[in-house]
Amino acid sequence: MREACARPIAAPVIVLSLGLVAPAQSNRTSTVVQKNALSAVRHDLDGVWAIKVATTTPRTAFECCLVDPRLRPPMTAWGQARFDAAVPSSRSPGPEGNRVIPGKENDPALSCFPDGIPKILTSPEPFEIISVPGRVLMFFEKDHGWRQIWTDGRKLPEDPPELRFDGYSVGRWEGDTFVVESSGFNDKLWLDYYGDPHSEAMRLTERYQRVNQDTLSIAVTIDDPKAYTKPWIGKPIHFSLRPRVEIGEWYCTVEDENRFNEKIRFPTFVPDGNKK
Amino acid sequence: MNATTATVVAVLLVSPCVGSSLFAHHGAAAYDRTVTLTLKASVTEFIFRNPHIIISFDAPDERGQVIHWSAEGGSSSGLSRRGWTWKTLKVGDQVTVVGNPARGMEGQDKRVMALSRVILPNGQVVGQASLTVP
Repeated sequence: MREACARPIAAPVIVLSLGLVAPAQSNRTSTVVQKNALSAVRHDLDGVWAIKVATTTPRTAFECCLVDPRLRPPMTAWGQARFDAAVPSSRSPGPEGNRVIPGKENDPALSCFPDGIPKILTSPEPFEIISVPGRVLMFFEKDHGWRQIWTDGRKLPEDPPELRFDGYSVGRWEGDTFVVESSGFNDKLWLDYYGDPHSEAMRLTERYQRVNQDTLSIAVTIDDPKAYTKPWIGKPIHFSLRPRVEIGEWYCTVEDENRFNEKIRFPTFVPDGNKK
Repeated sequence: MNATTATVVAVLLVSPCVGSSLFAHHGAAAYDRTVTLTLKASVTEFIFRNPHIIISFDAPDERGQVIHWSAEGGSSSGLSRRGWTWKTLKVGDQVTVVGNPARGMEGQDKRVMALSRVILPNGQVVGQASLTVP
């Protein structure tokens, strides 16, 4: 991030200069340079990132999961009703087993709703992080959408004028972790591809860490007392830096989605129930 | 072999996750991954759009009856990074299509499959996108 990098990058330059006039300290200087360079990298999230393919079992489309359905807190009655009404597109590793019914899926994304935050983080399409003064921007290939994370010190709106698919987000650095807090979501979308719900009461915390030059980790906590009886804490999922990738165009249009449904999705429904 | 072809072939060789991971948009549960069909196909339509590209083609079954297939691939944005273009196929092309059929549609004259790859008339292989973005 340009702002965040300004100070850490300055440090190794100074140390290098000192190294020229104090060769006896070169080994220690070299170590300091490496540490400062690593610190600079850790405070720079900019670049194109793509989620790493799952290595877990059962192997799903993505590294599983922002929040693991196997560790899902008990739902409230409201949350359970939403969950029961969902026919997901992907088989969840959760205790509910396979709820996919090909051709009958009702993921809002199949009606051209955006994936929204945080679900889009687990989309296989890449996203780019771009830092500008006062904001960190996330540009997602899926839905070709921008997310704004304000870093100018403002607070989350207590009474937001509208409820959004992506909510409102503010970010700050805590050591090497970029912490993003969000609220002001509407309840039209799912948390993930498995039909887990979220409500308007959701508060989302994301923790971004650049583990090394090529790896970004994101860990989230879902605090949604209307849907879950206690916070749902996720483990870090990982993303790879893709310096050669340009963000492509991935809009959802009604024409394309309808054609896809008619030619592909709807015909795969077989009325003998859930096909494993 | 030109650079594009080389890239596509390489993707085919190093992307073992293709089968399980293609369709985040709507999942892949409809398809029988234990069955792989290789069909001599006559392309009737090629739609290079999101959320998934669609190749429609006619192919005779084992009894000689023509089956009208629709094969879905990855997103056009993803496949664009894999050497595909909107001109890769055109109506009337005679190609070989490899993919996994949707369950429960056996015996129908219209069927659906998940695309694995297409072998073009010149022998070039164009593969499916994986989650492994280059």
